[in-house]
Amino acid sequence: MAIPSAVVNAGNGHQQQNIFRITFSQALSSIPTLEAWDDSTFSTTLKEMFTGTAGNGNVPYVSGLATTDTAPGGPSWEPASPVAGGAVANRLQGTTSYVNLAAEIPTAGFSVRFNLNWQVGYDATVPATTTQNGVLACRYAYSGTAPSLTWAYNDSGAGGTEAAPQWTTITPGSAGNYIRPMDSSSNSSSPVWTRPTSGVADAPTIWVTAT
Amino acid sequence: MWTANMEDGNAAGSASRNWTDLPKDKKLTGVQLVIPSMPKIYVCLKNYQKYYFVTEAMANPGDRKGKITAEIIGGHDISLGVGTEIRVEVTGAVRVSTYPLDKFKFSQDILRDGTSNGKARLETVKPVEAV
Repeated sequence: MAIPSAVVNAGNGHQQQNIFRITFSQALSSIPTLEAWDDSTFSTTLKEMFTGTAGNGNVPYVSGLATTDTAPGGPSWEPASPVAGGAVANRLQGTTSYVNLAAEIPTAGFSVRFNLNWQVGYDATVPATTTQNGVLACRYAYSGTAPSLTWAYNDSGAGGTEAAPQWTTITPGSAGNYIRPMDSSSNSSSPVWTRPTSGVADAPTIWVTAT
Repeated sequence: MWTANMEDGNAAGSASRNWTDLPKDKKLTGVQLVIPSMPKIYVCLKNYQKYYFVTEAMANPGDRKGKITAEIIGGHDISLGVGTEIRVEVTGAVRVSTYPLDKFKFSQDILRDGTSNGKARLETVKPVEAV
């Protein structure tokens, strides 16, 4: 199966480990982290997806969970508020709050795994084209040969499951792929995620799309 | 871009090898790191008992290679239990920090022995030729 496709067990409410993964071709010198930023200058986190709204308690919209070493203790792994610095599960905002993707420093060929969730309040700005268009990023360090990274997701369209994941590689660049929260009834040609009428809501599905 | 000065008077640098290629049986007298915005000037750590170097990068989903964001050198003063780290960002910003050695966040494999023969120090120097 090719992109676009839904990601198996992505989002809050799932207790599995095989959702997204990054494989490093060479040894790293530190534990890699998963972060979110306004853009690929990795310098600011000013958008609404980081500052939140009154309706969601002014916390970042995107959460990450490291599943490299263990599955979460329960399906509701999304933290209610960000944890300062790195954590196994965290609301993502630059280097203020991020996810440590493994417990140990990866050796050559090692893969880290993670899950993602998007949650917004009833008062989130719509359309969200300029308020939720931040970037995810992996920060890593090395002292030897520069590693190549391979980002992949467990591809629902290819029949992936937790027990038998089907890993499809995510392609890079401005013409590459996007990781998007979407309604269950939405489709990849017109991706839509509807905000709740009250309270907060998690994205029902997460897709990797080409546009 | 780093340069390591060896106990035998030779120097080695990133132009010809990776940090992890430095032999573990040769002690270092100091490590230098160039500042991108001032390529004639190096920041230097001397007289530490251990040294390390890392390149830090950031990759967006799908990226095979990340963008380099910083180069870092560090030294451990084991007698004091303190590490000193110099972070030089690609923007030219230089940040110096110290930490207790039990908070060292990098791999032990990248530490190389130094010839501590005096007070550990950080200084700014003219470059030496790397080989």
